Amino acid sequence: MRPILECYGLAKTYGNGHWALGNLNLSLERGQIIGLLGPNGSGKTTLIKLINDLLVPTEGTIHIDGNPPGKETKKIVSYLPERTYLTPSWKVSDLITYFEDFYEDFRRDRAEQMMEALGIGLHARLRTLSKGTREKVQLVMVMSRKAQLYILDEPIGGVDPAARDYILNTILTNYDENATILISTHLISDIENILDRVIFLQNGQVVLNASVDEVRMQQKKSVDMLFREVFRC
Amino acid sequence: MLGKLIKYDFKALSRFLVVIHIMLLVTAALGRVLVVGRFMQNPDSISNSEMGTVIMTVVIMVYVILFMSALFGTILMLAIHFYKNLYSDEGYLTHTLPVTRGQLLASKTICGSVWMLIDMALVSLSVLILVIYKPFVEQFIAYKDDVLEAMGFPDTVGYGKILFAVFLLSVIYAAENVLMVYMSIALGQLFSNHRVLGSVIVYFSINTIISIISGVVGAAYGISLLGNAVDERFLYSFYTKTYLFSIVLGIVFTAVSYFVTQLLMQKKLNLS
Repeated sequence: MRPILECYGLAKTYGNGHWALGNLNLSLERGQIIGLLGPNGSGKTTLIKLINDLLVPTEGTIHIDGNPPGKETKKIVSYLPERTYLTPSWKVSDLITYFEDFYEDFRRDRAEQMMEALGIGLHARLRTLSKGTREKVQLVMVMSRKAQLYILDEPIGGVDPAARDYILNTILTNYDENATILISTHLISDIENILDRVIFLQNGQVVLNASVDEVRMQQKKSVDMLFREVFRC
Repeated sequence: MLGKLIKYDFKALSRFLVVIHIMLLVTAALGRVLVVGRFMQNPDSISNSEMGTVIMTVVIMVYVILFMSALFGTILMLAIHFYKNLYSDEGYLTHTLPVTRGQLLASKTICGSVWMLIDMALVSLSVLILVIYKPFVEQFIAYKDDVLEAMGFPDTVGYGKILFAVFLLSVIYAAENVLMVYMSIALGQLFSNHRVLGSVIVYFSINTIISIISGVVGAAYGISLLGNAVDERFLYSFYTKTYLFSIVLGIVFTAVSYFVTQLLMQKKLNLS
């Protein structure tokens, strides 16, 4: 089976001449949960936005299941941005219908079930929900798709610990064995236990791409400790 | 998928636009009953009573405000929806839907043009509601063929053909205006900062340039027409040539704006 994601010589520079990514090569296998870790400004969000076709690469190529980012890849990638993209005047149920209309792999029953478990009413207007609840809504929507690649940009940042546990559990129980989850976060210790692999980014370059077991066996350290060492200020 | 996009674009646009246009028509009807109707029956009845003057002033003011809001509000709403849906945080969802950029633009162009047409029709209707006057309509029907003849139309051209021609021009005008706004917003995204301000500046610059081009080319074309011999068909030939000229120019501007916007969306999208 070909890798779910392949990036070759990927580079991105913004108008001001700053290289957010430079000559990045990366290949992600199927059926893994991968942590994309790095300090602020290391290029995590830039990489994620490039994969989701929200930015145009300056150099290099990206292939998702063999296709460049576009209509076909969007059918199989479920993306949680670090922004709130919800339309404030919509109800939760409107959002569910919207996802059902556009994504063939969306599971309404799964979404409704998770909303109920988190105490989010389907008839609540998104405008009236707190910031944390809105983040939960988005995460539920993204995880209710049966996608091949999930990309979660800071999925648990603004969410309380109880909901965080529920969400991490949801990720683990819902995900298909052949699906890949790419999670970008600062809260390493919270998710370390569910990760199969970690990628460290620094100044737009991959500085480490290893399985969590390798990190633990060879370095005799947790990922969290290794992170603090590699990115010491 | 295009159908679904159109459905959601219409829903988003209609929220505000339906309300403002209904208010416009209701105010026109009120103005008709409270001001124009009374004035037509007895011109002194309003100016002689203080209450009448107050009502007249209020109704006319509200009507003028709604008229302007409908006229400028429609294009403004289209601009806001295009920007918000594609280039603000909402764009993170819109651009990750499994559709092509071409479908996104097509949907927004269709919805925008249709709303512009509805707006033009309803604004015109509100003016008619306000001023149409039975004796005038009766007179017009009695002399409708003479009116056409006096304006220089030959017998072969009836009201049906003229209305169709006006409709066709309105469609092109609507699409042209909508796409000009979309292109300005897409061009504004090329700025690294102040992208909204950039879009506004681009819009007014493009409009100025187009006015100059249309003005110069139109004037030159008009002068060249005037050189022809003046006969009884002169007016009609002037109409048709000017009309065709406007249609061609409109189609060219529409096509260029569509192409440029599509290209920018495909090659230069950089959501901040």
